[in-house]
Amino acid sequence: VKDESMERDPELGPLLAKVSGEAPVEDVDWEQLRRRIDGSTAILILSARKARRRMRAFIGTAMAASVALLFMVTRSGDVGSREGALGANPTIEEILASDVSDDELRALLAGGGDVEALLLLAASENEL
Amino acid sequence: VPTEASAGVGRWSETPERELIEAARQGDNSAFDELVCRHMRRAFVLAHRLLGQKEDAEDLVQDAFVAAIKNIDRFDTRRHFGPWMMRIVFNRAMNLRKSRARRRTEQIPETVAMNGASPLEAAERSELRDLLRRALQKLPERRRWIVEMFEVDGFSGPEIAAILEMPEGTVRWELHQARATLRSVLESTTRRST
Repeated sequence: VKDESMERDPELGPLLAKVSGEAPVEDVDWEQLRRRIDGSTAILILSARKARRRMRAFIGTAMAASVALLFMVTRSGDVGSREGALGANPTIEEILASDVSDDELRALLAGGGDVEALLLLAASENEL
Repeated sequence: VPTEASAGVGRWSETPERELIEAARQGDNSAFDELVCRHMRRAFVLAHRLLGQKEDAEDLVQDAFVAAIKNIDRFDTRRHFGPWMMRIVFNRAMNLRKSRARRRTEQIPETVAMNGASPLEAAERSELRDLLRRALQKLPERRRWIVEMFEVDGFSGPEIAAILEMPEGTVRWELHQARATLRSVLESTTRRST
């Protein structure tokens, strides 16, 4: 059986075609069938496309939210550690006098809560 | 035998199937249309083999492509689309046959081609066909499908194995058995006529 020919039998094939019948491919309106199929599948493809777009938008938003959350957590951690060194509620003067980098200074000022003093400081810098 | 030669001639005509499938997954109608063009004829041939009627076969092909697009995300692009598509056609044809609980009706040509043959030769051919028809009907259904799909519809051994979900060796064995049966009919008829 391993040697069974996997070529068409030139005698059997044509006889079988007459006996069992061949598919009437010449009688089919292929264009019409194609349009029918396209008509049935178009709505499904469209809804799949919309679902993918929604998913992409959701993933983008989720990633942006994750980055923002990560940033906020990191920042609050920095502020907390700096507050530990300077006290729970450092004054503007204490913060400015401390040996901190610009970024740390911004973080401390943002978390410092002394908004009016900050505004005054910013205004005085602008006047200079 | 219908082949992929009749596939579309648009921008996708030279595109590998894997890319077509990916584009269809992304929602590109024209990519899926190209897949339809490439495979609908063979899907029809298979559906007609299993259902026996043109209209039923056309409806089944449409239904099968709808099922294909619904499940396109599950398709493993490392494999060929054709056998997967034919398997969908086969499964749906089987479901249809079960639900309708009807016997397969074979469209057998009523007229016997007698061009250039004497009445005696024509009668012998007619008798031969009748014997072959009976022998075919006695074959187990899957064995009959295998020999018809291979000898008449032009499906290859591996394609048939994929469609029927059986090892290629089994397909080869079934083909061997079917051919042996049918050849014995041919030989007995030839011996009697000489």
